[in-house]
Amino acid sequence: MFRYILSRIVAMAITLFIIVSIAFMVVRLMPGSVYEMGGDLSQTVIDALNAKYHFDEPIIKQYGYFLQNIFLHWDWGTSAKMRPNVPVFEILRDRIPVTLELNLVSLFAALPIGILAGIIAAIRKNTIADHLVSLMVVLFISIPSFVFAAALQYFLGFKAGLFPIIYNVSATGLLKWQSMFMPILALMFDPIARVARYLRAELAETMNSEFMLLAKTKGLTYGQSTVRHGLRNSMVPLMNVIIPMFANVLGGSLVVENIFSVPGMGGLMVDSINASDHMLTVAILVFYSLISLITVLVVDISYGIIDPRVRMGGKK
Amino acid sequence: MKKHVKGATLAIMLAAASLLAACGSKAGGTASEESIAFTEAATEAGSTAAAGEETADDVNGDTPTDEGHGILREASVNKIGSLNPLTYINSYSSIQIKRASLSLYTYFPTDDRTFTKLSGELAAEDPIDVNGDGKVWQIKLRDGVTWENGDALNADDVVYTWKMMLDPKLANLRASNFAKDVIEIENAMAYFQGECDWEDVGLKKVDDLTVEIHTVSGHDKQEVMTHLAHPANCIINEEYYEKGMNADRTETLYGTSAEYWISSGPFIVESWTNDAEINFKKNPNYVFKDLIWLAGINIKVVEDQSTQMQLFDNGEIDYVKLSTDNFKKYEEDPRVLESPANAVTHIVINTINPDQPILANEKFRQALYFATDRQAISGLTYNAPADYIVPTTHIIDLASGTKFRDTEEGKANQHPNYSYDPDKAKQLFDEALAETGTDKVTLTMIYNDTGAQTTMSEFLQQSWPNIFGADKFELKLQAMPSSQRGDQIRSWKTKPDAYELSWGGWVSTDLMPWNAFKYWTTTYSAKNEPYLNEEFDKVFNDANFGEDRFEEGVRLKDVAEMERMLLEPAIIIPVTETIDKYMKADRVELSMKNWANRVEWGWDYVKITE
Repeated sequence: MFRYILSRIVAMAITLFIIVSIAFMVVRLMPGSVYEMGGDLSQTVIDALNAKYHFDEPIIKQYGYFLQNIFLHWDWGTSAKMRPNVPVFEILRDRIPVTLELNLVSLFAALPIGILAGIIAAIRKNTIADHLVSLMVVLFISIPSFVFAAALQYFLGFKAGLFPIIYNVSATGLLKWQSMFMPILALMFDPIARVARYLRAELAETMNSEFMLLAKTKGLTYGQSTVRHGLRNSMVPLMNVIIPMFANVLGGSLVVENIFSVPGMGGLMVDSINASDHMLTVAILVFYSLISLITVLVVDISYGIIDPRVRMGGKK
Repeated sequence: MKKHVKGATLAIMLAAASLLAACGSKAGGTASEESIAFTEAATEAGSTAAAGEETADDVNGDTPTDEGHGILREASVNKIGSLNPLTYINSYSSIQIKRASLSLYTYFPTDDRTFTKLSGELAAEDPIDVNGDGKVWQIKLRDGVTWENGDALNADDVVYTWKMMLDPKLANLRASNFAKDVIEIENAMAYFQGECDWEDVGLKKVDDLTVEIHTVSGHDKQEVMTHLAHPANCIINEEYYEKGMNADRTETLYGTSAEYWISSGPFIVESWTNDAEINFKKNPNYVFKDLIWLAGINIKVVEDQSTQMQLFDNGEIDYVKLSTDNFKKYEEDPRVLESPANAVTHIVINTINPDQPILANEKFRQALYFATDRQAISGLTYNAPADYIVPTTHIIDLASGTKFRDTEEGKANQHPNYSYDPDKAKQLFDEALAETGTDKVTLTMIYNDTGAQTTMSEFLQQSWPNIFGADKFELKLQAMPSSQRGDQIRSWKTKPDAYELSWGGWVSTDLMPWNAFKYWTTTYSAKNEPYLNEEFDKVFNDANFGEDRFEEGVRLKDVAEMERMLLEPAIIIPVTETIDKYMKADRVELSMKNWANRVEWGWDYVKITE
């Protein structure tokens, strides 16, 4: 098991290095100069800035400086445009907590609702309850979260005045949670639908399995057999859906954060690309890649634990 | 029973979701259901309302108190990247820098609140021409001026600011401010490039309350004051600047967060959450504290325009910039204020594109110029039609307040019907096709994927073929994000086929229109158009640095000449003059009687009447 985990971590490190290298090259080779931005900058100053940050040197030498700074000083560079001179990971550090808070709460709130809806739909298959859940799933998946966000903001915030129209960054305690309610709710609809849909399908299939029949013939009640055997067996494949949801959590939601003025990770990538803030863009790409790779690692390891055949690979 | 409860809960959730979705689409539909034509009456009504406001029982008292009264609440789509005057990027940051910093000179409302005046802020008086040749200027500073923490602010701070601005290792973005622009400081760029010592630079401390600047060529005091009023010349604090400095002295965190910032201007930064919210409070030690009625200003970053509108309607912010759709809705509302944006939106043309040699043909460009129906376009975008380059707000003589467009020379560059002449356009088009041996022209225009550029581009796509003939002319459109478009059009130097047609809209120096023409000079660093004309450069240099430029009428003539040189061969095609529209809350009492250059509606000087 240790060798298996070690091999996965080494593979992850190699993948991350390749991603960092590609990200650096792609971002640096994008058209447009960082400092030729249409302002009143003299050519002397533009040249000095390009020299200071090595933008005037061949791309491969720039890449060398980039790696050297990371490996020798753990310096990923500073923002050039969005927050001039601020280390890029400091900018991410300011943004991540609010995105994490918002998205984790919405995900943890959505999971039990989604699971409940999925169970109801499965055990009441082809009844009105199932049809209602199916309708909800279709609506929640097909209608983008920003439509819900705009509607919630307009009706609950603006018209009814029940919640603040935008997220209140300076509020604490109850006021803070009150201002977070609508963005959290807007982000909940999609995971509710996805979990409900997946669980319904899995549980409905499990309920028709022969071991469920055996469980009932052993004398278990319908509820006991469903919870102890049906649900437990259906939850394992559900992890395939839930774990990637956690990976997406850190990405934030561009539009929902924008509508409720949440200063999270959502728009940071788009803003940094539009601003030609190269080092910040690379840092964001690295951050997202790292999160995805860690998620994959967790999934791989958990599969290795659950099913030994996975970690054994082709060995006999 | 539990199953029934669960079922009912689900049903309620579904019903609520459906209702919300339905209501969402309804809400979206109401925003643009009416299209009301723009009239001048609304403008006048707005201005009159602004001018005539008085409160029966003024809670502010007779004179501003040290604490001030009421908080002005703003929402902005922009973020304050930095309050460091030496590195800031966007103009929105510069507005906030001015709010919390002092500069030697700045713009104030005139006493009658109808215009703007340029006078000393940290400087005690106008600059003194030491030798009478306009090359050495002494500036006396006010005594007793302090930073937020009570430390004295004097000549040492001013000189430290200048030294850091030009520091070769820091290579600050705003070092350009002392390159050859309005004024050129002796040896400033040489020091910046490490070619001389600081002692050789023409920026000196005379005593604790006097500084001196040495310029390369002679200037008048207005040029010196205008230059030093630029936000890049706001004074920085040595202690905090050094506190944020890295080990090799190449970067500083000054002005990037509340921790690395100290105020000295009209307002003090009370709290600041980057990219989200900033709170200012009145500075009781500000030199001109008697001009400030407000207790503070709260700014929230709200990027979504409809959210901003909801906040305004809900009474949570005090003024809001109106989108075109919202302006249609509130056009007749007396709370609407118009604010000229100091920019003329124009079509930029890549005359050296090897794939479209017809763009180098003067008659073809003139055909496009005369085929552009500016009045129709401005009717769609709610801006003003413009067949000129210098906006109507630009002042040719600050002392008298004379606007360039009101002069005979300015009017001579304008034509009837805003230069829309379809017959002349068709004739020129046919001649251009004959000269170049072309049967059909297909051009591509790149434009920003948001805002008025979409409307204008689509209008031209329809209207130009109607004039030239659909079988002879086709305009293709390609949308892209603003920054990407900017990069693409400026890349013509290395990639001549970078673009064919696009849009430009320089926000230029409204009190020095002769300086605004630098964008078309040969040496300008970020040119949109491949326009290289030595004759134009000469007129520009005469207007900005020529010996006789202070003589009466010389600059007026030069500005008119530069505008003519760009308009006649249709180097660019002006289309509209941008007018921003705002709506303000009733609780805000404006101090300005009308919009004025630089101070605009004077939001910092308003009163809160609640």
